[in-house]
Amino acid sequence: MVWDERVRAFRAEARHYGPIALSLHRRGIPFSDEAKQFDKRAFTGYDEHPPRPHQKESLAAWNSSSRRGVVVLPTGAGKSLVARLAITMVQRDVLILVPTIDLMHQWVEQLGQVFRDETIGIMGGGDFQVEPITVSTYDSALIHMERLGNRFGFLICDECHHLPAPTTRQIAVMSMAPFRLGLTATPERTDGAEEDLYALLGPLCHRCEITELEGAYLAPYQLERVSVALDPDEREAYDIAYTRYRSFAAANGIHFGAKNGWNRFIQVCARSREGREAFAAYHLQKRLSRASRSKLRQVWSLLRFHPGEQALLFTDDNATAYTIGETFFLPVITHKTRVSERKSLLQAFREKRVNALVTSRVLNEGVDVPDVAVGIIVSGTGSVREHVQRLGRILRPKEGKQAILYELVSAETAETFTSERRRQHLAYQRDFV
Amino acid sequence: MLTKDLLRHSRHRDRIFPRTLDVNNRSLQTLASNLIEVFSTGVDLTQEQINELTHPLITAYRSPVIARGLEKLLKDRCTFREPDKERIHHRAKVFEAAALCFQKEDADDLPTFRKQVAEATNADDPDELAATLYDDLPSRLPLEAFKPITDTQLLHRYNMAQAQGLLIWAEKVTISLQDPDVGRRRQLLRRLRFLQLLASVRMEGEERVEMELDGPLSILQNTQKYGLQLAQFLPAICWMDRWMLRAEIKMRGAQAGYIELDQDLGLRSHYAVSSSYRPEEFKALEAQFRDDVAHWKILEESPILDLGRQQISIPDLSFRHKSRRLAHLELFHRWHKGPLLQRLDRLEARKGRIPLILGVDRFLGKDDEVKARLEASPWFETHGFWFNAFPTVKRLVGVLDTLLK
Repeated sequence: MVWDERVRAFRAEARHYGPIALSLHRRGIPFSDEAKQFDKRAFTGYDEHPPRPHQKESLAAWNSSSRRGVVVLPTGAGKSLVARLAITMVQRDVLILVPTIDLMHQWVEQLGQVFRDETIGIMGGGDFQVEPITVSTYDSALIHMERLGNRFGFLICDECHHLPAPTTRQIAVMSMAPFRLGLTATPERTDGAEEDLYALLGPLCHRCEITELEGAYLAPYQLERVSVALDPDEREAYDIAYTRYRSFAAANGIHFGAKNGWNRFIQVCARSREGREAFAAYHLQKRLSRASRSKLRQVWSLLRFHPGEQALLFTDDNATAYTIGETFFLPVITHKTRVSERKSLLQAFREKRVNALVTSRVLNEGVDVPDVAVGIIVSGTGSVREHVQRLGRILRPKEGKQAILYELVSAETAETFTSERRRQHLAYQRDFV
Repeated sequence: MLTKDLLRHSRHRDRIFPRTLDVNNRSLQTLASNLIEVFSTGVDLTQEQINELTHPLITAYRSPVIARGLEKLLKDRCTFREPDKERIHHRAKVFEAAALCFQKEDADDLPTFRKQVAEATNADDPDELAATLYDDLPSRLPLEAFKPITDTQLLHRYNMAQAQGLLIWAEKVTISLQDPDVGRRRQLLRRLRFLQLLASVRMEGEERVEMELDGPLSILQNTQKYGLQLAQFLPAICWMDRWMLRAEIKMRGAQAGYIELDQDLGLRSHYAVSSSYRPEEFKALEAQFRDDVAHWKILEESPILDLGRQQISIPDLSFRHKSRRLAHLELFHRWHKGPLLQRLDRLEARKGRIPLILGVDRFLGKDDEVKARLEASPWFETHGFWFNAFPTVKRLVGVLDTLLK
């Protein structure tokens, strides 16, 4: 708290409302509250599925943590049921934040089915309707939070690892909500900002890993890394391009592992013709390793190997996603796909009118695609989180389901190191087929 | 306008300086004209193809962020073809046909599969089908038109955009301006009205005007829209002979500071000083007014009304009744609480000697103070009205007629 001489009063960020009000209350200090604009509610949830043991444990742990904290559950383990139970427990106006428009619509639909007596509010994708239960994208909430920060007593952040980003965190700062719940499968961030996450939402109060639920509440899974050799002409082009950009970087004293190494590389490249050629070489070798002809052939073989099953194909970039879409006449969902088309494609996929879906990154997290048993990672980053999320896409349980995740890696290219980096997670510490 | 990542500014203590370009610099002129060349000869090229052509120019320039800024301003002048809405349905049919072909036993061979899908969708050739499958992606739509610009004009636009980009983050703006040309001053004040930026405006003598505007960050409604409108006002200020603008700036994630701009910065307005300028909603209202109303006419230009005590009013529209009586309209939008309350005070103090009617955005009525004040105002009860987004002709005429009684 700071003293503001202009208004001759103490000021504090909205996020501190809960502890301040509680502290005054506990000490018996009388106060008038002109800030709070949220109410006690009598939400009735009509959830058809009773909570499973890991969901009950999560809720209990969060409740005993003064209803503030982060719950870590694998994708497919039913995080949204934990959230719905928490809403019924807290009984305050609630704002649910999600990272994408697809997820927002999914939450609205699910909440509408469970809280049948309520109209579910929505903020994002061109909609703006605030209700006692409201779902918003992080982006929309950021725009409106300075006006709505006092309207909700309960803040739920789905895929809450997004929250600590420099601007996004302002949502939690500007929210007065005394009760906070963060949900994620992977709280760790490459910038180490997960501590900030706990400061904004409360401590890590429960964690459960994929391996603990596999078989019982998540589908059993298999991992298969497929090493793909480049065709001779692509191999030659790759080697030349790789050597060119690495030599340029070395000659200019650039270490990619160092802090700002990549930024320095871009800056140095812009200064000379040689640098610009090195930059072009960097892009060429990257393109060859993630979308070579041999990889496309391998994708076809895998699709044919699972002819009756639905598959999700993941790429690192949009260009590769569209190349695959055009080669095999498959639907592609990227951030460029219009919302209406994205919805109808997902619907067609759920109804099995199409049997494979290609995506760059937008389906990495959240969106419920229940029956997929086959995942193919054509290319990806070194991010552990991304890799775990992609695995999570195929683990939603179903009777007799055996999931398999293929990871295509161009042999003897930098992709092999990227692949090693992203598998640094418990879920991947098992023998590859 | 430039996005935040393309803004360049430096800082000395609390003062922030937009980093403008020397419009006479040869290498910048060359860069600008090379970029313009790409766009002006780029009709029918896709965004992707245009990017491929501008990419080497951008990366080759010593400061790619400048080059990207110039490119952004040129992209703002482009009209790309609208996507074919039928393409989505066509695509859905292709996917479903492909899913059926995929189940066939002889589909193992990829060329055979592709051929089967082409046949099933009545396409001549699988490659052609593939090439058109996603050709409605924004990056694959062709350029239809490009508004021409010269290299020097582009560099001036860039400098203006740098200053405008900072104004989006303004908390409070004070402007002092001086110009002997009364017509130009009037146009400036009209522009202020049309941009809904009404704040405190004082006339200091014959030629000088002092203004104080609230910036977007001090107002909690429609922040971004207001910021853009504030930024759009800057080119109009540059019409004046002498001017000085000071704005308190608070960018997200950065320390607060201020900017001071004046005529010596060399900013050049790209707006024409013209009395014919009207925003679209005004044009539509005027057209309907002409068609529907016989006893009132909208005047080409509004006079500046002296309300006394240094207060002036710049009407949004002025009207002449067939009896030659004049009337004026002032609209108060969602962020005009202060000016509205001030105006009511003045009108009531002048006891009806000003033929001014007031339109108030319903959004303002959500404010308890405004609501109470308007409910208690005899002036507003007779000569005022509420509107959603923009007034209707019917409502307007009804209130104009009250001035005749």
